[in-house]
Amino acid sequence: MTAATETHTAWRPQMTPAEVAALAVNEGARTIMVNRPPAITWHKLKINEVAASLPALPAAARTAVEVASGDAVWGAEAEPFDAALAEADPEGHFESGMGAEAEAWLSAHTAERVLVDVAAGEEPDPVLVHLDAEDGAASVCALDIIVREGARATVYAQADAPAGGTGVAGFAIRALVGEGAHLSLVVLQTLDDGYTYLENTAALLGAGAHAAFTQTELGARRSLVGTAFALDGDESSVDIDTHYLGHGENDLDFNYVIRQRGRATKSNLDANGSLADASSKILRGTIDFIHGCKGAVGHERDTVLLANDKVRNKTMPVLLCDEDDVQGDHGASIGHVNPEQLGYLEARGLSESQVEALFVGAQFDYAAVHAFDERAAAGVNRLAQRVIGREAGAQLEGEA
Amino acid sequence: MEEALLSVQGVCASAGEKPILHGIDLAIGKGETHVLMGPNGAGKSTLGQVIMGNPTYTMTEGAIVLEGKDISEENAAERSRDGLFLSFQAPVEVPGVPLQSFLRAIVAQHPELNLKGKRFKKRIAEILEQLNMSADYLDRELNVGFSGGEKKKIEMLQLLLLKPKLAILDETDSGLDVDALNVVSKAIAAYRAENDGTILLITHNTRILEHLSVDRTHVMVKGHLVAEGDASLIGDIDQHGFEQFGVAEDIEGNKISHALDEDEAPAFDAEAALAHAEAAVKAAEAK
Amino acid sequence: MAAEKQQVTEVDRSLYDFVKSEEGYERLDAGLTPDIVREISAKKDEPQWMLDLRLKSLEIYHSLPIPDWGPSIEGLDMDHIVTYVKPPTEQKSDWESVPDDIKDTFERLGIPQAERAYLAGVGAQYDSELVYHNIQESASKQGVVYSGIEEALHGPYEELIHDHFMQLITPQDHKFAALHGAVWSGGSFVYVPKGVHMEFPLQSYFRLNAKGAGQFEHTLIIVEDGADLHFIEGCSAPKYNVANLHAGAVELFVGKNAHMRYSTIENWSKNMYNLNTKRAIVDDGGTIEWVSGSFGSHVGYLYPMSILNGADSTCEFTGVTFSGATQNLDTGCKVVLNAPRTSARIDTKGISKAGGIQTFRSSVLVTEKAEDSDVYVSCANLMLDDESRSDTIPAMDVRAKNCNVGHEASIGRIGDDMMFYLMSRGISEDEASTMIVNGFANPVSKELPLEYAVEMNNLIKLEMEGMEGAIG
Repeated sequence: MTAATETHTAWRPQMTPAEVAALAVNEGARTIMVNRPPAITWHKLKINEVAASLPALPAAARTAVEVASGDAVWGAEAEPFDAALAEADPEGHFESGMGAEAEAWLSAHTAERVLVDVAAGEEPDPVLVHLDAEDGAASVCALDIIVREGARATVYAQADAPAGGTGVAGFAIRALVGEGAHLSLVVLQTLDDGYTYLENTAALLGAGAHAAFTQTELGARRSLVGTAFALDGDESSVDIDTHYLGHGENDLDFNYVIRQRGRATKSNLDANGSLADASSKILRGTIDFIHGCKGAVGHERDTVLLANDKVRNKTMPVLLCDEDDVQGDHGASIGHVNPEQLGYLEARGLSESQVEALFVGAQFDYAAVHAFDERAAAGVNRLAQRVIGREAGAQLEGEA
Repeated sequence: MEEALLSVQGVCASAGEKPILHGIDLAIGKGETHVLMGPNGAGKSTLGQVIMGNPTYTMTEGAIVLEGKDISEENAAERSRDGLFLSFQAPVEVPGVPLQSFLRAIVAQHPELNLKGKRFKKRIAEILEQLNMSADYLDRELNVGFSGGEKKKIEMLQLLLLKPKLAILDETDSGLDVDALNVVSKAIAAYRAENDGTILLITHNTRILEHLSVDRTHVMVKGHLVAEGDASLIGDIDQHGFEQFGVAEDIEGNKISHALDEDEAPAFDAEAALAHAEAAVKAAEAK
Repeated sequence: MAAEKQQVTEVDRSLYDFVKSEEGYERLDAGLTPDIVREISAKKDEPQWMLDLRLKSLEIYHSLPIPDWGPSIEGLDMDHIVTYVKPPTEQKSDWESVPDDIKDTFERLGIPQAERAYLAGVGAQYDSELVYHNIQESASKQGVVYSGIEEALHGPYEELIHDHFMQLITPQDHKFAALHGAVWSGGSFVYVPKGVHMEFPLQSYFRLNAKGAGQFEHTLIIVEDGADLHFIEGCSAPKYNVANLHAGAVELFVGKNAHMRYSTIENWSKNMYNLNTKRAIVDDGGTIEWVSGSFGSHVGYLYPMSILNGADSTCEFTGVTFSGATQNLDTGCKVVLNAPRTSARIDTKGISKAGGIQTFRSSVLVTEKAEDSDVYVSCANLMLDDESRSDTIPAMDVRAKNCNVGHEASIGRIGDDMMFYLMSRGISEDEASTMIVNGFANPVSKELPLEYAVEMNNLIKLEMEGMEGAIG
């Protein structure tokens, strides 16, 4: 009955290249469709893609993007990455999680491009990139990462809005991880409610390459996060570890696309989050076992705590399989604090709402513990103060 | 010498790229009981699997001959119909297939048993009684959720049902409770008595051998057969472990410390043990 | 807003496409026009409300787009589907008087024997019409009604049918539900009064015999409070070179504390487009159980839906889909939890072989009303070779706080260790894989009456041997 009365959702065919090209010019307000998964399902579920209405905004000043430490080129051209990509990806497998419309919009609003290019066999100090969103602007950092053969790179990036305000902030991340190379990429988002956040990642891995991607999404009125990994090289692997928190009326939208083409490739997507107040979230996760990826393994899991009656969670964990010699599994676990945990914590004197607060607070505490520098910690704490009324990482007594 | 029932001739085998067995020669005469011993990871189970024809392993050299017929190219089903049986160390669970249906299916592949219809039921009932097992097992899914002991009992049931010419019993005694061990011992005794059964028992434990008269004992280390003897070799190993073959491990697979006094106890010298083992292997190869 | 506009243009385009193809109507006399719909209704001497519903459905059919998220139905040319095929016979309740060729078909399918053996009632539909209906005296004495739905429309149950017919599956639901509303023909009406427990199952068998035809039967079942019914549905068709279409509808109304099981073994021939819609609504404390085996069809879209509308109601779905050469079967289920303390268990198995495409698709909606509810979905898929394909596309939408939704899915092939174990006992490679696949599908077959479980195992065996599963 419910389904019968619902009308068909907004659904738009993908844009033509010319239409996408028109988006790549910063001219006024735009509505773009993003985060479309490789396989779609009933439109009535309103899960197949999401519309982002982006106001007319000037690009922020270049200084919104800062390389706080590490060896990276601030003010780089796209060309070095484009050249490395052309060489690494002759068949055009490189794709982004949010899709072409987001790529075009982000490119039209880029404040600055940062290039991390690690030479073969090198293992330099971590690179820290800060994006401080500018009030009333589109603050987009393009982040190109090339980790050449056998090299190891660590990149930390944070989107923050210490000055508050409104606008759009975003990362357009492109990563190439060469043969036997290793990339550790950590992205933290601590924007205020006045912001819409776009995080679009595209990565391609060579033989034996490994990427570890940690994402933490704590703020922003809307977070649109698209992540795509092409495991092209044999025995390449990716671990994605995502933490998210929905509060207020915030809305989170994730799309993960993992294409396993190489033999014996491995993927693991582990998303973990809490939804409080009247927040909502959609997570699509697709593991695509492409013909020929013999011996590939893929796991995917979304674990969500719903801490309020008004929250809404949608999860769409997809396995696409065109190869028999693979092992894939996915799981989702959506619900309340489980009765065992609840019983245990209640036996320690916590009320149910305190237990929920504990789980919500835990996302901040986790982020605080893993903050990679003082500014990251400050961003987490600022949000924690506002949302749970205490510093992250503080003891429970402080709150009771 | 009379022709052996099973003869393993210069068998080399590998799993993927990794060589595991190096030139194994073994001959087992009809009605004999042989024991294959060796420390953990020596390749004993692999030899059992290779004899049975597990496609996971590639036999790179040599031949396996049963009653004068080279069966090296046959698949496992064909070898079973020729009269080989392997009792698995860890029998595989097959969800949704009731034990009874499975037993009917395997009996149908061995028409010489002549166990159709009522005769099948009667024979199953006999074996269950002989092994003191409950008929409830028959309705359960094959090995699914069975304890280690229960799985071994089901293997023994199949052994008695199929009456193979040669049974390879892989670590049939490991991790068994007293009840299951009794069933296994009974089954082995019945197999030998009723069918003049021929056995290759793979173990690193000597407990089950107490009730069994053994004709020959083989010792495997690192994919080589390094020693062969009569039953007395078992007692020897029981006392001294595999150390004499260059491996500092007792029969339970524990590392052996030479010293009695802890103060003087030298740390386990892996390199020395390895060198020792390699020397033993070379000596064996020279033979 | 921009996207909504886009939607409108899309609809416009499909209307245009349709108008273009309408040119052929006069010549082919097989397409869909209001006149054809009026003719169907007139032949059946239907009440006005039914004709109105048909005409409204036809309009909706023309306005809705073809699904773009599932298998292609390009091979299905609606202009060439003879929507209404009436065999030259009236419905019989005496098996002997059913025409010989039709009787022979059903006898080969084992229908009357099964009735004698263990069924409380049997219905048999041949092409668009029900040819046989019978119910055991003991059941009818308890007030159980099992009759052709068209027949029931002319009797004392017209009012009841009016109140339920296409209320659960509305024509707006999707294009093929609208098509069904316009051209539906035949099917069963079952009414189980309060507190009546049917000891034996009722069975309905559908046989689509005509070449290039459509079958659009409507099954309406009302199980009143505290009653209990098991309904079994079987389908088959011979193989022709042209496409056939099955767009039936099943509407199940399960009362308070009532229990209903709906079992299906679907074995349409490999030229069938099976775009069937099944839906159940369950009142307080009631239970709906679906047992579903999908083996046939060229293309399948099948997602039985359970709406748990009453507190403490439950749903169980157990299904297996086997997709072989030339098949693209998109199956699964939908569940709506819309009341407190409801629960749903979904357990499905998918098998793909010889280039077959198998997709598990599901949706789980837990509304704000479904406090303290739980859903568990488990989905396992087996790939039998590397030419085939198997996708898993579940979606969950959860809006209630105190609930738990779990989903687990896995994909892989038959383990080498399992094959070796069976083969080491003398079982050939082919037999071992058949045994493993049968075991894999066992959660479904063990829920079926023995005769059906045997049929299902035979179907699996036929599929494993790569033979045509269709009889005829």
